[in-house]
Amino acid sequence: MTAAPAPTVPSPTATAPQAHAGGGASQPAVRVRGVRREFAGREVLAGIDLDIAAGEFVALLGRSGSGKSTLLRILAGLDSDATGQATVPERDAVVFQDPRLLPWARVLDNVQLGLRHRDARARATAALAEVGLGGRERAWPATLSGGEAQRAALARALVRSPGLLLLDEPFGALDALTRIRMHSLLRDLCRRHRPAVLLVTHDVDEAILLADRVAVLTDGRLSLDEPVRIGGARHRSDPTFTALRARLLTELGVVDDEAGEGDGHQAEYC
Amino acid sequence: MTSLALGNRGGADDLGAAPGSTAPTATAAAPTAAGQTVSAAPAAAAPATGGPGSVTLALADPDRPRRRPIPKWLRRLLGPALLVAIWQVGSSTGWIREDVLAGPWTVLHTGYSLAADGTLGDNLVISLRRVALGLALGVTVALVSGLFQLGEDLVDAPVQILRAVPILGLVPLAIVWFGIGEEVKVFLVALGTAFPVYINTFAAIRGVDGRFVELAHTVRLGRLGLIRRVVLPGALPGFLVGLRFALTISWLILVVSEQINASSGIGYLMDQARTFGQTDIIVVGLAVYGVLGLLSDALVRLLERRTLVWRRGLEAR
Repeated sequence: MTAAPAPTVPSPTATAPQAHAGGGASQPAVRVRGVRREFAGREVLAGIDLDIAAGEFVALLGRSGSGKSTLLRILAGLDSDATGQATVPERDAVVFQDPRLLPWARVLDNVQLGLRHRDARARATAALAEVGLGGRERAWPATLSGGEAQRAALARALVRSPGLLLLDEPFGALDALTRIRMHSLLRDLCRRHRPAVLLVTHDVDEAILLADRVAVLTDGRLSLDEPVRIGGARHRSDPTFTALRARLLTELGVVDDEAGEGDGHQAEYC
Repeated sequence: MTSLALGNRGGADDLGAAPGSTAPTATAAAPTAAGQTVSAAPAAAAPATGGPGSVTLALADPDRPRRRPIPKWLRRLLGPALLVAIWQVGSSTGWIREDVLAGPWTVLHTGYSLAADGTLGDNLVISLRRVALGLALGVTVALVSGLFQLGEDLVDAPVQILRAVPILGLVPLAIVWFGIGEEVKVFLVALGTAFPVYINTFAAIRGVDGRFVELAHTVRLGRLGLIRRVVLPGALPGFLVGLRFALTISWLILVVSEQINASSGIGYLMDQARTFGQTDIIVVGLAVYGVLGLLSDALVRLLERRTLVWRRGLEAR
């Protein structure tokens, strides 16, 4: 049990992470009930209920300041002032918007930071190779590009074989081209490792492209929570895609005057 | 000697490249700049320029022969060499009297004989030991109070108050307490070095990025792991800055305390020489202090280069 934000989120009933039970009817990997959080009297989360099945990829959308990152931080055990109940797998990993690599440690040491396995080094090397950073083990973080640094951060998360992967706008600071490559990398990695994933993002397209389910956080509650029913490769021109996109944007209170342009600015394929 | 060691660090490295590299481009630009075509009224002299309002940029002509500049270090050596030359000439002609200031040649000779008969070496070792002991003590106190909350609560406020007292003002009290033995010097040096190391280390530790502490939590680093992997490496640059200040201060304090009450050490040697009017020995002592200051500063800089390779600038070198 990780989140253990001491007395307020009493969630020590550790659910065994079932990494290979592809989102079945078994007990969910993440179980959130009535989680509340207020900052200086303003209620940011007003009772959140959310289940994430093992191996399920959930994208959480919301306007900036809607509290989506707050929910993620609660699940990561970084917020001890929240109330309610949250149960998360024992092993979780977080990827932040900034790569957050220790600048004074080489890439490999960053990836194996906190690992206590005997073969931590070998695992970290393998994880780096998996994200396409093989051979960069001894590089200093300052010498990596933005995309490379974020891939190293992804390797640092995956090397822990997490039951829950928490992604806090991990691609928000990347350029459009790098983001596309990161999307397909993330998709591959998730397919291979099957962790439960909570992706916090404000990018509607990103959510639809990657997630099995999308949820929208409005005024402290989940105002929408529905599966993405697009089989196989997802394309922006798919009518289901466009319909869902329009619905999500409406939910987020955005007038979508780009709808007619379809996949205008960044064509992305799955 | 204090300001010498400090001034040198920025000066030699940072200024090093600038004038040498900019000078040629500046001169290259000058002649062409005169012929710059401000094409408000484009005449026949300005071929193939853009429309009105365009300016031809002055770029260096690759075929232009350039003079080889005199190496930087040679030019920097000029000033000191001139000074020593004047000093030597003054001493030789009797313009500078021997009992006021011994000539450079005499100083060199005395320095050699002092080193040869072991006097210099023995006293140097004693002085070095005093500084090393004082430094070690000061650094330990600073680290302990910087790393632990209890240490901060107990140590920080008194340190901030005591900091206002000039360390050398404590000399009379220190003599009353410790007599004129080794303890006084070690005590004074320790006190003097503890402050800069403490203040810089403490600030650096408190300044470690909170996001990294958060990261440490998410990867389940324990308290020890947090200190070892995040806090200490993060605070290292600040600590080294403090150490550099501490070193210069420690020499300063050593000089004073060795001259006030001692029976050994470089300062004692100089004080003895004063009673017999041996200006050559005094100058030798000064030179030794100066060299020690430079060396210790160079040592910390080497340490910085070794331990802070992860900074992009230092790695590129």
